[in-house]
Amino acid sequence: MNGTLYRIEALRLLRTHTLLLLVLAFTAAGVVGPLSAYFMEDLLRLADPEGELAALDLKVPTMTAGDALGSHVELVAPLGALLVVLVAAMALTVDAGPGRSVFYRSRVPGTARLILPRVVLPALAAVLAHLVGALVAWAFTAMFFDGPPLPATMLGALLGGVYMVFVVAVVALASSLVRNALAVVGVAVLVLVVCAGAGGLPFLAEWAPGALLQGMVLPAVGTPLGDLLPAIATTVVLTVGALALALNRSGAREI
Amino acid sequence: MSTDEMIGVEKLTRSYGTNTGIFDIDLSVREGRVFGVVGPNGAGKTTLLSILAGTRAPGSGRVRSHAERVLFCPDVPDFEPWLTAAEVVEFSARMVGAPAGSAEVARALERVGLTEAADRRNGRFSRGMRQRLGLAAGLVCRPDVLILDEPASGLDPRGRVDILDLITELRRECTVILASHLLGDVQRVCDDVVVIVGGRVVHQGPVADIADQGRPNAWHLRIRGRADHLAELLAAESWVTRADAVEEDCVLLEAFDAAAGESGIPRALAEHGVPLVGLHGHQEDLESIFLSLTNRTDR
Repeated sequence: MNGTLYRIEALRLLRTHTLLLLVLAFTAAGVVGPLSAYFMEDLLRLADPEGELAALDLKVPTMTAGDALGSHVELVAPLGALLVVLVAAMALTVDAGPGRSVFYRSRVPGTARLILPRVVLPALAAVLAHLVGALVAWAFTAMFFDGPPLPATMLGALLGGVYMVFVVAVVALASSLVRNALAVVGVAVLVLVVCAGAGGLPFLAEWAPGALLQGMVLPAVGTPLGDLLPAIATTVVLTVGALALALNRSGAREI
Repeated sequence: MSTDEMIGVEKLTRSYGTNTGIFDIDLSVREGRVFGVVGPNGAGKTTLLSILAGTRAPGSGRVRSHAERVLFCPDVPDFEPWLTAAEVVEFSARMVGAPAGSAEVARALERVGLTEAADRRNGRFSRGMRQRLGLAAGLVCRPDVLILDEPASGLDPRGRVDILDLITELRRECTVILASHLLGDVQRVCDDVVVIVGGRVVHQGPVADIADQGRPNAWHLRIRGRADHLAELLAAESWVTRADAVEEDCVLLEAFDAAAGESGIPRALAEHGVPLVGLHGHQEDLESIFLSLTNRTDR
């Protein structure tokens, strides 16, 4: 029975083309990030055809592999996460309408059996898309800069994947609080923005889940991945907590 | 509680605030019967069905169930739009651990008339087709109790007849609880009926009994001979409350009750040697009886 629900989620990712869209979006970020870093000076020149900025004697620092990968992360953090929110919301708004809710809930015993496939498959898709994007970003970075070591970069990217799982867990929590798909997206985005805001505070920065996205950048700037241990701990605790609360609230929900 | 009860409720209450919800409902649904739930909008039918299906909890009271598998088919079923009709039925069976081979799926779709649409994605199905698909998805699960909320409301007349015939057949396989505002449908397929008004049961029993309440106690008698003369003769009978000649050969006769008229009319006509040409009773349909039950409660 469990296999059936996983199969449905796999079909959702394939037939609605959401897996393809996720991978393409993260791949695009993997291309645009390093290229925008490499061509930063040219881009500034293009943006200033009159040469007015030149009069200000602006100096563009020499871009590095860290800047290239960082540029990719800057794209992924808001846009990639938003896409993951949308994809997860499609799967997790099982109670948005009574017709579909009754179909599943009168057949599947236990909330966990119903909800977990809807968390696991979108989370796997998000991690896969993030890793593909990271691989592309590394390849383009290696093409234009002194490439950082691939294994370390991908290990760091895997930590970014943990953040993507956290994003899906937040959507699961949101879908247990509200039913409407738009409301679910709104609540999830709000929670992620608050988390990002908290990460902006100096004393919370190293604990914020969003810090994990920097994992793929750290090897390029010579910082050990161990520096992300506090963020890993926070993210794992928040993910498990969000999922537990989501299952609890979803189980108590009536149709 | 009857010995062949499949599912029942006792003192069931679920309140949503002032006078909305269901209150002190007792009912018993026997195995292999088609049980109708009727009532006006907001009477509490959906709340009752949801509690029976286990998708909503009772506030107080008890649900007695001897069913291992209760399935609820809502009035507008909804499925992942990118699944084909056959996949919906197959996954429905797999989710409950019922046989889900291609033969079972094809049979379920055939029974609801969706064979042609088996490989089409359901996203573009009409409401009627989705209702049929919901029914197929329920049938394939082989439930002990199948709860149907307005199963024929979105169907054309031909489709409605097909689905009602199917529901009639289903009593051999499972117990069916059917909510409908189409009283003709209820009268046609249900064995027993509960009428709910304002969250309370105002009538419960076999459909035949409720229909019996509508047996005529007034008749038009078309005779060979003079109607005014027969009216005079009948008016003298102790069981007659009214006898008027409404046409030259037609008498409108009213008796104290249906039984008195049913036995008195043939006897009186024979006694007076009046040949009968036609007899037409004013039978109330379920709708009229339902309206009288609900009006009585409203007052």
